[in-house]
Amino acid sequence: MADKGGSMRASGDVEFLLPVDSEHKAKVVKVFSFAQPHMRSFHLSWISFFVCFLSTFAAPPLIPIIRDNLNMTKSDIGQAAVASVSGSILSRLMMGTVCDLVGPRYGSAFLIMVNAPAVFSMGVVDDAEGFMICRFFIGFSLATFVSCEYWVSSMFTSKIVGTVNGLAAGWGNLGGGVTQIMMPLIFALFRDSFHHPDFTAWRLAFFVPGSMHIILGLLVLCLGQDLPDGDHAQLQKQGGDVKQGFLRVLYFASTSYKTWIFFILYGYSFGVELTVDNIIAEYFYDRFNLNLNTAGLIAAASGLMNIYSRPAGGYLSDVAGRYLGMRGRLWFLWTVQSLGGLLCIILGKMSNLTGAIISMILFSIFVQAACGATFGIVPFVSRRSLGVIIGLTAAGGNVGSVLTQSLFFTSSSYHTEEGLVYMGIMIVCCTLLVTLIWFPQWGSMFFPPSKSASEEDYYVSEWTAQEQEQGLHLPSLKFATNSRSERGNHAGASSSDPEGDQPPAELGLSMWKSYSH
Amino acid sequence: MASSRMLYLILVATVATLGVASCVEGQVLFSTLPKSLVVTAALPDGKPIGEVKTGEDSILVKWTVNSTASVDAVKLKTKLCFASESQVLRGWRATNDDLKKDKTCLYDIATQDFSRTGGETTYKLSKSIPGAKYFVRAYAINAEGKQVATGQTSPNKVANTFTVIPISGRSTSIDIAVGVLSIFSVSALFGFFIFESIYLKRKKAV
Repeated sequence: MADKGGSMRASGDVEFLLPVDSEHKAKVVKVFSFAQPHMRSFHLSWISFFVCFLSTFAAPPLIPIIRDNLNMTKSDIGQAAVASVSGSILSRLMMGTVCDLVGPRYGSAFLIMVNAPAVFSMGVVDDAEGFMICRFFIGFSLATFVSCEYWVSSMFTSKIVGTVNGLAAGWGNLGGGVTQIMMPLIFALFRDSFHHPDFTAWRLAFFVPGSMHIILGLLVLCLGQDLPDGDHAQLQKQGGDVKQGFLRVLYFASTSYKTWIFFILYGYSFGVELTVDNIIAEYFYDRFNLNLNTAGLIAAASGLMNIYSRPAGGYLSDVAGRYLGMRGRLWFLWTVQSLGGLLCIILGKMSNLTGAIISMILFSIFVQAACGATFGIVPFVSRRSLGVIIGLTAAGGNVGSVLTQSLFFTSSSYHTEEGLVYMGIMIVCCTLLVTLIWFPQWGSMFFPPSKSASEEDYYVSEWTAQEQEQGLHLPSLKFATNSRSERGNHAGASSSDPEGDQPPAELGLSMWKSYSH
Repeated sequence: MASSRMLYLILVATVATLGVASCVEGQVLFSTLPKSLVVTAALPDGKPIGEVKTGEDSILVKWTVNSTASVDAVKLKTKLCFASESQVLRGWRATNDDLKKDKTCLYDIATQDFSRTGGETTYKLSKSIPGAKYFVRAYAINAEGKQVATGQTSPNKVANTFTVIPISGRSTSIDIAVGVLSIFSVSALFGFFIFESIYLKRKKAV
């Protein structure tokens, strides 16, 4: 890998506060540090994602007040909830390209600050349609997931990128939990301390997430940096980045059946988490007769599990991969997600408060761990089209949420508790798709790998012969060699340093084999 | 281990206590309550209510006891209840015969001392009442806090209901603040973008 950083500064070697690799990506993550550029960017990216989750799910804990103010029916509430997660399907798909073009710093700042007016507009809605449109536009901001992952992947080396991604995504998802506590408290502040009527207090409460959007946007612009060596625009002008054939990348991503399996699967871990964020506060308020603050507190417990459950899911997937290879990762994902589905069924059946709280917390832990475990496998589906596959999987999460909310929580023909049972059954059924994932070089849950397959063949076959002649496939080759750890039986032994690896010339012969994957 | 066993026992005891606690209080079914009270609701000047605005208008609620009935009660509660058409497609306002779970009457008007001769109260509608169609219901409460008799202004939750017009919750100052902050957000972003590209161009030119 050429040293891109040295040419930028006249003085020569740059001092970073963290140990870095040859691309100047950090090798360790120090969570309590704000060192420029790595840790500061880590904190800015996860906090921006956190604030977007906060504002997207700011309405649900206040629904009991809003539904009276805007004279909404159950289907109005359900449609608005569906709208809140459907906006980001498109925005998540586009965000990867936006980050490629202008860098993650401008990408996330642009999204957050352009989204702020939508959050403020909640203060002026008059009816159910206006409310739904508002939630739709606020939901666009969930695309910061992509810019967050992109930014973090640019700043941290591949060995720890999984853990750092899990931390950033998990802590960002916390926003969905914190908002359930925060919004009722802010509402109570405006109503009790400032003596506003209910129907005004909830509108004023939305100024808080809106202002957080503006503050975070400015912080990202002022303090953020796209890459360890500088900003995207600066490096672009010096020819620092490699451009890839976008259509070819899209082709390889969409023709692989595994991409579409993950598109569906993520809908039943992350999608279900979004659905629960939307409906659970109202469920506890109505079914168990709690007041707004208590219902919000309980609902928050679900989102707050993200602080460790998603990173734990990613970490345990790594452990399963180390001992049992890719097969271990697949079994872990299936087990954890199916248990999540079972707990969802139990949650719907619980008619006493304690049982409902316990099953909700356990359900959240398993479903969020499944999210983390999903992204323990996704990076291996393709090396070349990684960005597009992450975007598609993320979009699939939202599609799953749209589907489950429309099917089970919008119509008045069944109660919310029945909807939860049906959703649990759907989770268990759709998770069976994990059994269909088969890697030629590692096998699947039930079938062994193909004897003639190798990691190098799999990843290099994504590049055409022409591109291989130009040597563009070399990063994939390096990745392939390192991914041999997915064969399992590597307890304790860490994979060799990717920087020191020089692929032997004989591997070039396998270039010409083509695989359908 | 002794400590984990202790923890397990505490958990089981807590769950058991909570389980028992939830079925301690007895059920009062609305259908079993005698309809011994006669309730009327009108505007303070005596005219029938058509529409009233929250925060501005008041209603006059009068109640008496049906002469043939004997009611053993201490207090009388009057409540504002949803008419049938305002309960449609809104499960959080559903009627349930068990008065502990019933959500028909969510807004209290007044709690007065019970008297055989009857009573009245003037109620200024609170700003937190949503827009819907309503009627008024009264419950006679005995010394243990249980309902013993009832009466309402509408015979079937359809006839003789009145409309309440709510506040919107919006105000001009909120509208202005939304406009100002939105414009600030978008212009700060584009201003920064423009400023930084000028700065970079100047840096390259140097």
